[in-house]
Amino acid sequence: MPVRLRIHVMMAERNVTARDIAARISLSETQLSLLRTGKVRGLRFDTLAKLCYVLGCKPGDLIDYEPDERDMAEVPAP
Amino acid sequence: MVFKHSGLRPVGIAIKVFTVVLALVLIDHMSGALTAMKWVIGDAGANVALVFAFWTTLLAPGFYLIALWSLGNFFSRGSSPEVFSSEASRCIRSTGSSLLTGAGCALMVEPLAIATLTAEGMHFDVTLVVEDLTIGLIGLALYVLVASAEQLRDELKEFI
Repeated sequence: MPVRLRIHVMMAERNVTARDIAARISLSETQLSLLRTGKVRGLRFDTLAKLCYVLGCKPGDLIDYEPDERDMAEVPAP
Repeated sequence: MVFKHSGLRPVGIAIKVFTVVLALVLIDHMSGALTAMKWVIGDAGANVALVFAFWTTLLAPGFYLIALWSLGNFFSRGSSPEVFSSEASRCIRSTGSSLLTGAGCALMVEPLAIATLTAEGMHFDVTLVVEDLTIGLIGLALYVLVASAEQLRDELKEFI
């Protein structure tokens, strides 16, 4: 699933530390690290909204997608 | 996931009070039954067997009371705000396993003990079998549900 989070890019652009972000949106640094490295199964809308708010960006700035045919492999044929 | 359960604490306390009252009623009832038992004069072995059989009849209600107490703990827990905290899981699992064990005692241990230790022979009350079987299956369902809930909780933890 080539959906990638670009939180680390936005953080670098805004010149903010993971500790600051984690503290502002009430996440642990471990959770934020998992988000930054993409080692999570999903991102809650409220977490996404908080990230957008503190980083001053849109969801599309934080999430990237590269089309991959394998994403449709488990979808049954119509 | 946060769940405001502080309003349920009185329910937990009420269940615990109810459990204590039921335990006292059970003790009163069983002490009456103990004094009314048909003791065999001059046969200590038969009397010991009778007492042992008597105690086995306390197993099922005892486990049911433990289940009620665990349910009280579930409602009156206060430290964790999570719906499926470890403490909540432990309380529900304990309730389920106690119900299952109590039903097992009522269905298997008690009739076997009475049949083995006394001269009454093996007999089953169909009404009680239905009740105990239902209680046991509810206990089993709770136990299985907690396992599923814990699995779901672990999956949800992967969503940040």
